[in-house]
Amino acid sequence: MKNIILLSILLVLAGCSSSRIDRKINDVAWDSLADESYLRWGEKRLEAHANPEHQVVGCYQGKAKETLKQYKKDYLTRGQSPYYWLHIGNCYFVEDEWSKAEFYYRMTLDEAKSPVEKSIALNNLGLIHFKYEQWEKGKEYLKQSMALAPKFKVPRYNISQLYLQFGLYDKAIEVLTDNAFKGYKDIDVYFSLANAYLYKGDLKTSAQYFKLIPEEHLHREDISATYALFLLRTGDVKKADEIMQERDRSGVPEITAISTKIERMISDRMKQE
Amino acid sequence: MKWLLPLILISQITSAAEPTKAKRWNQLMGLVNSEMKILEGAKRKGSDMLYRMLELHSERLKLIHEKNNNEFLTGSMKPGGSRNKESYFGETRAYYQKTKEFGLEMTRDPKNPHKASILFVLALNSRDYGRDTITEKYLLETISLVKDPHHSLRHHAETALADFYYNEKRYPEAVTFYERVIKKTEDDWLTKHLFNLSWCYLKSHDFPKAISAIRQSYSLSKNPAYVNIKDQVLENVGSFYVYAGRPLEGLEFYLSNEKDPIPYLMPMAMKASDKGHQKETEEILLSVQKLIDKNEWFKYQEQLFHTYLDFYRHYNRFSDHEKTSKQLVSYYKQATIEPKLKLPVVMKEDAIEKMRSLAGYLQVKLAKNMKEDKSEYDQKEMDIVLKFFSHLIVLDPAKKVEYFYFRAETYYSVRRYKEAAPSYVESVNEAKIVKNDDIARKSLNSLLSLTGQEVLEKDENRKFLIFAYSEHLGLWPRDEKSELIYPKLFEIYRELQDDPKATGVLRAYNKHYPEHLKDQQKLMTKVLDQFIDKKATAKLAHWIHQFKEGFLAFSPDTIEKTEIVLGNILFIQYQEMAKKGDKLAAAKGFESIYVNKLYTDKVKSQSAFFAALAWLEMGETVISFNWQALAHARMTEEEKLERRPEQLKIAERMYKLQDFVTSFRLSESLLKKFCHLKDDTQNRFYEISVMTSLVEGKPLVAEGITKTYSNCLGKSEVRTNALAMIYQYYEKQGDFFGLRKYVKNHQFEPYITQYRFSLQKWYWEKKDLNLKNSIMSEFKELKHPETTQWANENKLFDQAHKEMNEMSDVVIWNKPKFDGGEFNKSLESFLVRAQNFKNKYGALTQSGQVDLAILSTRLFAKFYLEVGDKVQSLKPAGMNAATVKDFKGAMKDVSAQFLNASKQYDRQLVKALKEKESISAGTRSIASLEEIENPIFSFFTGLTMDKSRD
Repeated sequence: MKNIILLSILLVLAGCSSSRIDRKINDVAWDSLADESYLRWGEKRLEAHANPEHQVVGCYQGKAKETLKQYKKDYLTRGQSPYYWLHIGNCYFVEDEWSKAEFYYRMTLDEAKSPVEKSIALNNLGLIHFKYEQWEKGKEYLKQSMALAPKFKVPRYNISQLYLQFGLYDKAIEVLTDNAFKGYKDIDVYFSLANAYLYKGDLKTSAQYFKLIPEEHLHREDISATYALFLLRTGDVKKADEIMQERDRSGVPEITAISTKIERMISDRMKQE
Repeated sequence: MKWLLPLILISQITSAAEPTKAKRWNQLMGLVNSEMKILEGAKRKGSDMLYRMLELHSERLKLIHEKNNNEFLTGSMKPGGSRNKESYFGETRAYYQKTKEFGLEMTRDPKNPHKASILFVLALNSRDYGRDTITEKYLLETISLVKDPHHSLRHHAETALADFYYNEKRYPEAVTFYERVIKKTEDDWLTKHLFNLSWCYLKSHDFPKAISAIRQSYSLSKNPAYVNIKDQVLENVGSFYVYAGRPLEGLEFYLSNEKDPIPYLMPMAMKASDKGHQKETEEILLSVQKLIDKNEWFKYQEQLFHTYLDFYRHYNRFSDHEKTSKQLVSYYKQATIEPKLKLPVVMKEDAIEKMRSLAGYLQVKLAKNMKEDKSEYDQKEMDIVLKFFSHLIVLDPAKKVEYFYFRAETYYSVRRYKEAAPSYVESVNEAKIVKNDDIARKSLNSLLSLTGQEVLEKDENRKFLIFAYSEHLGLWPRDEKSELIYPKLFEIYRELQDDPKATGVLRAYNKHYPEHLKDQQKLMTKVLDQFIDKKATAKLAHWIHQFKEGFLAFSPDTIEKTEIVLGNILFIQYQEMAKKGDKLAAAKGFESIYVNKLYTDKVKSQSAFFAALAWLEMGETVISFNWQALAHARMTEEEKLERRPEQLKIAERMYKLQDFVTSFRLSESLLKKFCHLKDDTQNRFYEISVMTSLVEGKPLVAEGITKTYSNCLGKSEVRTNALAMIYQYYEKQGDFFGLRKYVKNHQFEPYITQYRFSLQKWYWEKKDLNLKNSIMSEFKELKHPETTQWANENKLFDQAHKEMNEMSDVVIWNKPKFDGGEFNKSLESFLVRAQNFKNKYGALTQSGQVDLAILSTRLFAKFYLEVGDKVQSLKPAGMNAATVKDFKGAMKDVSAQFLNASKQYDRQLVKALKEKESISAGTRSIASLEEIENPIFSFFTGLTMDKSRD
């Protein structure tokens, strides 16, 4: 019996573990998407922004359940707004409850009156489909989102991530160098461009973008791994090793697997040298 | 049988007595007849014999009269004995006539020495048995014939004549003869003659002589030589003194001569009273009281009180009468309480009558006075009357009710309405106890009349009117007057807002006059209106229950309307609360209505439903659901149907409030309940049930809905959409086994085709080798040309991969000494193998499976690159320098073909991917650097949007 209980606890813990990289940015200057998404907001920024008008912030502060409960109570007063449904969806998204998140995004889409509102809902639905590995569908939602609100940066950024993942580096570079991003500094945008150029084989340009990323963000495991690959390409095995040593381990299985491979590669190279 | 004994005894006594009396009569008649027969038989009859015969005739006449009188007495006592008295005495009259003629015949003889005696006999016979008027004449003749004043016949004749005159009220003539008679002192009856003489004097108003004569009679009665008529004298001497105007002398006479004069004093007192001697009467009565007190002769006390009552009544001394009445009441009380005293109680009825009589008299007098002078009446008399009724109530409790009534009437007669009203109430209450309907009715009628005048203060008047109405209805619930009273009493109670009583009246009205149902319904409606005005919900609820049980036979429609009104009243305050934002209080309020036992199912179901809505507004979906269930349990089928659209909105609200489980419960239950309706609402419940179960990750439940309830749908496309949603769910979740089972259960398009492509996609996307194997098995099992082909291709691709790896390990030439022939043979063998590889797997690059085509193309690019590299890097040992150069040149040409081919594959692939923007597992898997996948994964690097800059 004890074993069963222990097993259940482990299963629960495993289920709860979030496969997510900590991409929190405390300095708003480095968050070009700050106006569109709270997802990368650091604690301090969230705390400063937390008030009834920005109720959804609670979900990003680890208080999703309480926030959702409050949304229930606010239904009568706020239920007419598409943002009400959007934010509920986002709370469920944060909680990895994709079915519910999708449901409320669709509600948002139904309630949305303006192209901007529709665009936001479509972006989020696109991400839901990514979660289900329905890449084509997700891409279509993002494209629709971009078409409805061309000035939005987040759908562009999201589609760039898809392109990168599927080797469409030029496409990724194209959307990330769009006018929408001009005049902004952004860690993930720079990292994505560095990544694109790296995978494309343009180490020089890649190096330029890596240099734009502040030192402390290089410890993010996905950035560390990519940067280490870059360094390996440039032959700086030692630096690559340092980078990998100093990385913040995300716990995300996919990244961990990649990091392991890179570490092995570094180890092989160092042996060769 | 007990009653037989005295009857027999009486019969024995009478039968014994009769023969004795008859026997004596027969004996006497026999004796008379015997003697008469002897005398009649005599041949010669002398005057003496004839006189004897006259005496015998007279004796026979006496016996005949005695017999006739007896017959008369007997006959008159018999039922229907209405014969003329004279008819009984025919024989007497006849025999009198015969005797008279016999005697007169004798008187015709002038020499008859018995003539005076004969006339005396004829005079007495005439007096006693005849109807002629010869008595006085024959007695006077007798007296004139008997010259000797001392002769006994003359004394007898004079005595008889005196008595005759006395009886004929010819007192002066009687006095003349009595004065002669009393001179004969040897007469035993002298006392009697003196007594008669005293009366004659009295009648002649010669009171001194009268008193003297009677006192002489009293004195002589003490003498044994005379007949004692003391009692007669004592009974009358008092009156003599009264008539003489000297009652106190009479008192003195009695007190002086009699040890116990009370029996004579009280009659004398009454006589004195009658004759106007008020003061003296009072003195006499006082003496009597003193005697009673002194000697403790309480046996006379009752009579004395009565004498006093008569005395006071005679002189209209009502106050004294009342005081004595009061004493008398105490006396009777004492007689009851202390039986040892043996106080006589024989005149109680008389006492009652006297008091009643006087009270009645005074009552009439008061009323009469009031009529004559509208404002005045004698207060003292009024008080006396009231006191009399109080005494009578004690003395005559059996008729207490009458006295209550009389008392009330008395008050009423003098317009003392304030006192009259409660007195009538008292009278009615007593009448009810003793079941005297007559008094009850009279009292109530009077009370109604009184209240009708509206002379009392308004509230008081209404109080008594209510009493009169109520009692009337209570005593005679079905009665001509009651029929009119019911609505009136109802109105009074209604105006007073005393609805329990108003409705009580209505209930009685309905019970006793069911024929007036319509009127009663109207009245009840008025009460209901009152309840509604006052928001008296408990009362409304109570009456709705009553109506439902059949009271006043209200129509179901009316009852329902009432229930709705009740509901509205009940709910409005809580609805207001909810409106103002205090939803919790509102919910609690609705719940309180629900738990209240007073309310009907309809109200309870409504309140439960409102509670459900209030909880829903607070976001408490589960509690809301529970209250809906409670509401449903008390709804009629019609009501449930009416609520259905609202419940659909609730179900929608529930999932909007993030509670998909409860939304499902509600939708599923209603889907089931109203399955037969097959309308849009049912379609929607179906959709919600499927959708919520999928959101909650329960595809099997969703499938269950489609299996169980698809027959509840009005549109088949709803099911189709639901099935598509379930399919998409499995697909999204990557649930191979779930999807496989689902498709097996739904073997129709588009799922059959979709399924193939879903499997194909998963095959390339998923890394789980077990899953890949399962999919491959499934491809085969499906036995579809496409899946069979895909399975073969995939297998071929695996082989290609394996073979390419094998070829990577192939060493074309590694011998220490170069041998051109051997080398060429080995190279040729390798190139043939490469050719075979291309021939064998080249078609894979054209596969319909995009991922396979990409991967195969990439595989070939790699393969050719490796082949090219391998050929180009050949450095055969033992070859001279010049040959090496040529050899390298030759190999370069060979390898260039492979490397070009590799580049061509790459270019084609890149171009195709760019052009088609292909997002597939294949593309992703080739997007690597140093065979390391890109750390960027869109599913965790992507960002949700929360807002717009605007």
